[in-house]
Amino acid sequence: MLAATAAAINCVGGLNGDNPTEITRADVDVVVRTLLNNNAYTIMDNIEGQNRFGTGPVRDAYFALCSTQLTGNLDSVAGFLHKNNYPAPNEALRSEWGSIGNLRFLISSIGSVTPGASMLGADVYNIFCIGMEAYACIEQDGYSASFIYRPPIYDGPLALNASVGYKFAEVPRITNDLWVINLRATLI
Amino acid sequence: MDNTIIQQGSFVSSGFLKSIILRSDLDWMKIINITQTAANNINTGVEFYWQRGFAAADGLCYYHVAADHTLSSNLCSALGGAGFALFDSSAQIFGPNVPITRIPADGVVLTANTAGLQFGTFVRFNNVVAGYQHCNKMYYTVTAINPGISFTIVPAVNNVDTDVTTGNYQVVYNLDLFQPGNRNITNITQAANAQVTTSIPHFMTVGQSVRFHIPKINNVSYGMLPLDGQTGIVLAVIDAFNYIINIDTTGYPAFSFPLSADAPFTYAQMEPYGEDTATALAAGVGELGDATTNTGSIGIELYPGAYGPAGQQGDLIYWVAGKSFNL
Repeated sequence: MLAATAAAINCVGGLNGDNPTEITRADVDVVVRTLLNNNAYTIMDNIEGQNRFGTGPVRDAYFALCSTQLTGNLDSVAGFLHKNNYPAPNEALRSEWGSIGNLRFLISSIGSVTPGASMLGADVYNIFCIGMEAYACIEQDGYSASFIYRPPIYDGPLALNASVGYKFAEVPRITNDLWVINLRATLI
Repeated sequence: MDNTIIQQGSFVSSGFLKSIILRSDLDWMKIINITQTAANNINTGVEFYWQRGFAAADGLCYYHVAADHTLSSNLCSALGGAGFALFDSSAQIFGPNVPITRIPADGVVLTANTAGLQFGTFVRFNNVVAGYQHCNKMYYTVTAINPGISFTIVPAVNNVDTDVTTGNYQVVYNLDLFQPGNRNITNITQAANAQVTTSIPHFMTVGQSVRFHIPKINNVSYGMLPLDGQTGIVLAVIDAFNYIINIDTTGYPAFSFPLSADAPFTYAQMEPYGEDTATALAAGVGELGDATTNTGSIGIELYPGAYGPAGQQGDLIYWVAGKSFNL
């Protein structure tokens, strides 16, 4: 839903010669500035600095939802702070990879990818940068996810086959289009 | 047998690819071309069969081997045609890269391979160089095909530096899963009620609200920066690619599509985000045009032609498809 309907910004600060380019600090700054100008609230509070070797404070941040394929590129971005360098790593989320400026990156192996969508035909990775309450999933009353198992006795006189299935109904919806931006990037 | 589902139906062939949506999925399919069965046309398919495990885009074809009702059989591919192909629109499958040799400014794309193109097909370009980098990966709509020579796209490619180029085109089989979605903008007029042009059909209806994203690339492109971030209401739909909004752009700088040398950049976009119900109701248009719909579907595509299950234009075709108890 976000890939189809959210506004997109292409990364243009990289040097891989593609459009979009790989993600850079300048592209992160553009997204953060846009969300700030749109009065989006950050989702996460800052993590206060502590007197610990190799750590640095973390700004209050928007979420950036992306593919695990981007991890190497994120490591290379100027100002990237891996979550094990947070003053309190236990405050990082399980899926979090690190932060750049006011974005904290959450990764998933099923993160959004548009195949072959760059100028040079490379895969484009959609990084959804979201502020608080930017989108929502509306569940239908009395129709949340159901996992249904029917034992073989319901199959027929000989009770030969069991069946399993699931059903659910939900409506994903952007609640304020100003607070969600799709930052599109290729890999180095 | 439990869990066995059989469905059936019929259609009149348009002469183009036919998609049949079957939410239950299918494991086999049989097609009967009633029109050609009754006719005495030589070298024309009359009955087709496919089941899971066949090669992609193939099938079994029974055809008239003479100008009577004498039957023979072969694979669709062996007869120079194509048969059946499963599809899942949620995967937004793109076709293979097909080389092009030139895109003149009038939008005629020269290529030796036009297979799979038809009126209304969406295409995109990549690796297009020499003056065309600004059109890479924007979607265009095919409006005419000259088989094996060229096809025509709309809108015509903006700001062509030169008409000598090389690159590839790809067929876009499905748009993004959720619609109405955002669209790339190719032009906005300077008018009391501006006219917006999109690169593919916008699917807007009167009353829908849209937000505009006009990136600043340089001091020239995209030009109409005051419109960036503004919201407008669709007052009228001119055609599939154009609509009128309630924003006065007469005092704005002219919209200027980027040049090839401007790449990389972000395309100007429109983003549907809601509905002005009063405008929609006043125009007699449904006020739920902004509803975001999941357009995902699964099913099977039937290829057209003399040896194809979708037949030729005007053919009456019956089909029956099934989900097997066991594979």
